[in-house]
Amino acid sequence: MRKYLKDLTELSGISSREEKVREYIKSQVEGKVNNITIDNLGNLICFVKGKDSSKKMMVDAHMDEVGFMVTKINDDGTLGISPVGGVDPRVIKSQRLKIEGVLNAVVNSTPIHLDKDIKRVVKYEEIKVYAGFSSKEEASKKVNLGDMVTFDTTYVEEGNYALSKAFDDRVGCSIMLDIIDYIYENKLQPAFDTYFNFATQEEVGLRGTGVAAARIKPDFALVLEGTTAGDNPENPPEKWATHIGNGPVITFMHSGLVIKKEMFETIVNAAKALNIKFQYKMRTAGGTNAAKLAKTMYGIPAGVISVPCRYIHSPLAILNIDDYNNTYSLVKELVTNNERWVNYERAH
Amino acid sequence: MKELIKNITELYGPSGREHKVREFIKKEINDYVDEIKVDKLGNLIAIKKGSSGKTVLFDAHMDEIGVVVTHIIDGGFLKIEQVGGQYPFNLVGARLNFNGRIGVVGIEGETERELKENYRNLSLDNIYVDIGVSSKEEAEKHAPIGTFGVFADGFVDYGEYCLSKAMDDRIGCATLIEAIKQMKNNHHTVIFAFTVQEEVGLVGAFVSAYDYDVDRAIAIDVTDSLDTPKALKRMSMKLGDGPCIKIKDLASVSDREVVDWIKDTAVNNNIKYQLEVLTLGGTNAAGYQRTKSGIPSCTISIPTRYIHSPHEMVCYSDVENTVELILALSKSYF
Amino acid sequence: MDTKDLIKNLSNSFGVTSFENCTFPLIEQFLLEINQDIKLEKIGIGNLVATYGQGNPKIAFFAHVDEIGIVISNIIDDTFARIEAVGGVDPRTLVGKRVCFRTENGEKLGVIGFLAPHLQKPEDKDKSPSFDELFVDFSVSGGTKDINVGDIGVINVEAKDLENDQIVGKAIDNRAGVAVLIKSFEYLQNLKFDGQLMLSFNKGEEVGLVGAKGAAEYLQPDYAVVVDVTFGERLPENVESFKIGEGPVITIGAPINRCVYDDLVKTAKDNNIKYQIEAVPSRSGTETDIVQIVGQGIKTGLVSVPILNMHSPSEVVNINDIDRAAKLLAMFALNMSLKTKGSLNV
Repeated sequence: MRKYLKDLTELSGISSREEKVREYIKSQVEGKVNNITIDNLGNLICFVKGKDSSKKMMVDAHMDEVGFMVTKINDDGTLGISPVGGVDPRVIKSQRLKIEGVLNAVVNSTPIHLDKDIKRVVKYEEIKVYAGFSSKEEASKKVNLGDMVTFDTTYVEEGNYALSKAFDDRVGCSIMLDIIDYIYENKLQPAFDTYFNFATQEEVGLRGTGVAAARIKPDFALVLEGTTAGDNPENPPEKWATHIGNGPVITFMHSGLVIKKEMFETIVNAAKALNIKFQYKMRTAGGTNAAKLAKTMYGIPAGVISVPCRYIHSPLAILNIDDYNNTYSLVKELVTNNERWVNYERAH
Repeated sequence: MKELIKNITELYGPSGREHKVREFIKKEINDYVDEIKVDKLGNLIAIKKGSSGKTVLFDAHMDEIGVVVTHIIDGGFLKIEQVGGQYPFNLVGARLNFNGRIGVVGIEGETERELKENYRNLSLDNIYVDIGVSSKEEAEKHAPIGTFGVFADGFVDYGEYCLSKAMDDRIGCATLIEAIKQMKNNHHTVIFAFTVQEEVGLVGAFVSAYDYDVDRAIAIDVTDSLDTPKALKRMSMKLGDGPCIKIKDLASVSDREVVDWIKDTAVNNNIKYQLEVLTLGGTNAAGYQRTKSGIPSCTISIPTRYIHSPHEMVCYSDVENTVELILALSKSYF
Repeated sequence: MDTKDLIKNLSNSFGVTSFENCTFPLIEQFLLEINQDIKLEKIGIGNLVATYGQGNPKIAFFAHVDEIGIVISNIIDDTFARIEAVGGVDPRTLVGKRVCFRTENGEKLGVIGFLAPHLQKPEDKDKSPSFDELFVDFSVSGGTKDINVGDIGVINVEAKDLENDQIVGKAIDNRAGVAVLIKSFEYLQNLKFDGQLMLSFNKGEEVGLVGAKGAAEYLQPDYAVVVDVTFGERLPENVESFKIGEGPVITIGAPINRCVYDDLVKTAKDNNIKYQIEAVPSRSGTETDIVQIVGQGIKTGLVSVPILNMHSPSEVVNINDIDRAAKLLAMFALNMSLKTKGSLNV
């Protein structure tokens, strides 16, 4: 369990450029699932036959991380970048970056001696990324408009905590891989015909998941996320979304969607049955692929289960390993145990 | 129809928790329709078959705006976030119903200056809810995190006018129910979609027509009424001037052929109507425009004062005329 | 077909969102002049689709027909009325303009007037009028007795020539795109294109990309290219700017299929067509954003004609950019059909 988390978070894969992540995941699931499909948007769909084939479950986590795209090559060889997904410009001042996952680069930072106003937020319009090129011509030999730029971060694990970039949502992908391993290694079947969807382009508008769902045509879905905590000393407790260490996060409502009552209760009851300490997502801001699935085709009801993480959408996020393990156990239970869904099915 | 309006507006049914409304509507219409079903998201869909070869869909959303409990703080007070568009000043002084438990809103302020500032800049962040308990544990029993609350105010009958919470859009649901009961010899196949979660993103309307081939879709919803003192001068809708045929709002521009069809039908059947340009807000019509290959859509709106407040006011004759218009459209060829 | 005449006629045509039907006959006329052998139909919410040829590959070009405009929202009295925007209208562009409304009884002229400087208060001189302050004066056309809430209008201007192959007019967004589709169809007549080409002239882009979604869902092409306009002005420091007259802009980024992008660029290079590149990190703000994710996903590209003064009655376009974009699209369609038949090694 958790053996893929380091590799997954260190790979570079912004929205629409998930290919490195997809290749990695594909190589890990080959031979362990009944069928692998890559669709027109790059979603990686892994099918595992279930005990009850009368229903299709979709389990969804997105492969893309937030990052940047090269949108200008300046005459002096520096690069202009624009955010892919929501990245606050304040977290990238003087940061280390990687272009296409290979070229080292830094965000140039005006020395304090020369900067008249250190209270000012440096916005994307002014940010210059430097990889060592001295002219547009030189830069254009190795860098193209549209190239992917990501945070340069290495994974660290110590005690009960892990630190890396892109827990949103490589943590969801990692849990899905762990569950696929569990099912395969123990020669089990999931509860229903299950489609594990490693989705693309979530961070730029929930764009991949609906396309995968149109192919799968599931009856319901579980969306796995790395969600925001907000539990730091500058934020009062009643404004926290979650608290790391308080267990897997079960969402009742987020932007654009109220989770269906029966789905919400199924997840809560499963956590209670396993004696897993869990928490609710206590802010309704932010959205997930569940909002898109609800508006896709005939309307796909989805539940949302997340690992709480501090500082998401920045180069360094922190999670609690017990939270990871408990989220894994909860999702695994819902994926493999038909008993958990008896009341949900009865309501339909 | 007043009894129906009273009963349906007073039901507890915030976005995502419309069960009670759905059950109520099902009971009301079951004997009058050819088919009835509930889809995966909870939309209630009923059909009256016709022989013209065309299918017209009427939509009304079952959900009302509300709030949801996100935190319980020491002393048993609740922090809330909005479900749908809430003006914080409508919550202060209102009674809220948390699925059976009444709550009232208080304003935070640790200094006089802070309190004055918060009064001027009310937001969901600087208010809290009091449900009459004295501890966190007690609060958790009555309104745990994830409990939804709605306005608690009830129906008032003025004769010419009616007042209640949730006219948006239970008044739309009421007109559909009444139309279903009165509809005989409809030419077109008519689908009645009672949809969910409109207030949080027009969710239900994006999927309710998926299983059908609909030729025209019409949402029945509320719209602003500008006949109060110093009301927004750029719009023209008034109580009593009839149902509004919507030209546009911020979510959609109505299909002009559908607009003309509704207008001609109203004229031919001597039904009062107004034309409406709404400079804010949106309706489920936007969802039907985006269903499959796209359905030509429009909205018929019932002018309403004080939308998204605990006391929305409609003119009863507008409601009756809306029912007349729906019945006429079911027989109007296109 | 003369490109200048084409774009000027299209620009002058009245086709505000929800009134695209007024411009469709003009488009149909131009298409039929090129080749009678096309199938014309209306689909979904009423998009106009022209289909040419059959078999594979199925290639669709999209261009939205609707332009921004205004709508009467309230009648004040016998003379004056209030208005609301249809699409993204900067209220400042309406000041001191003649406007023309489509009513039941024909066209009606109005004026959006502004208080003379002599009567202005000094402190008001820095305030920009919003839609709440604007009003239409109908004195010159008989007053408000024959105008109603819901009547739709545009700024009353005619397209004109400027220097250096440039045209100024209203609605270049997106009649330039419409012109590209028509001209690409003309170019294709001289090529051995063996597949099915669908030209989708869409409704409702300016109010939520509404028409394109349904059109894409209905047509389900193998490849789609959306044609719209983009900015010819100086953009913020961190993004590339484009110049009008330097060729169509080919987009790379999240809403774009990489292969379609590569094919478009290669086609431009191989045929010596001047082009510019745009990198879009998340949304392009065009129909591409919705077409790509329809159904099981469509391989989509975006080609834009750079213009000046977008969303004003004085939009400026260089005729050569329209021709270049049209040639690019025609050659792209040809290449995709050759690829599919296995005759082109790419």
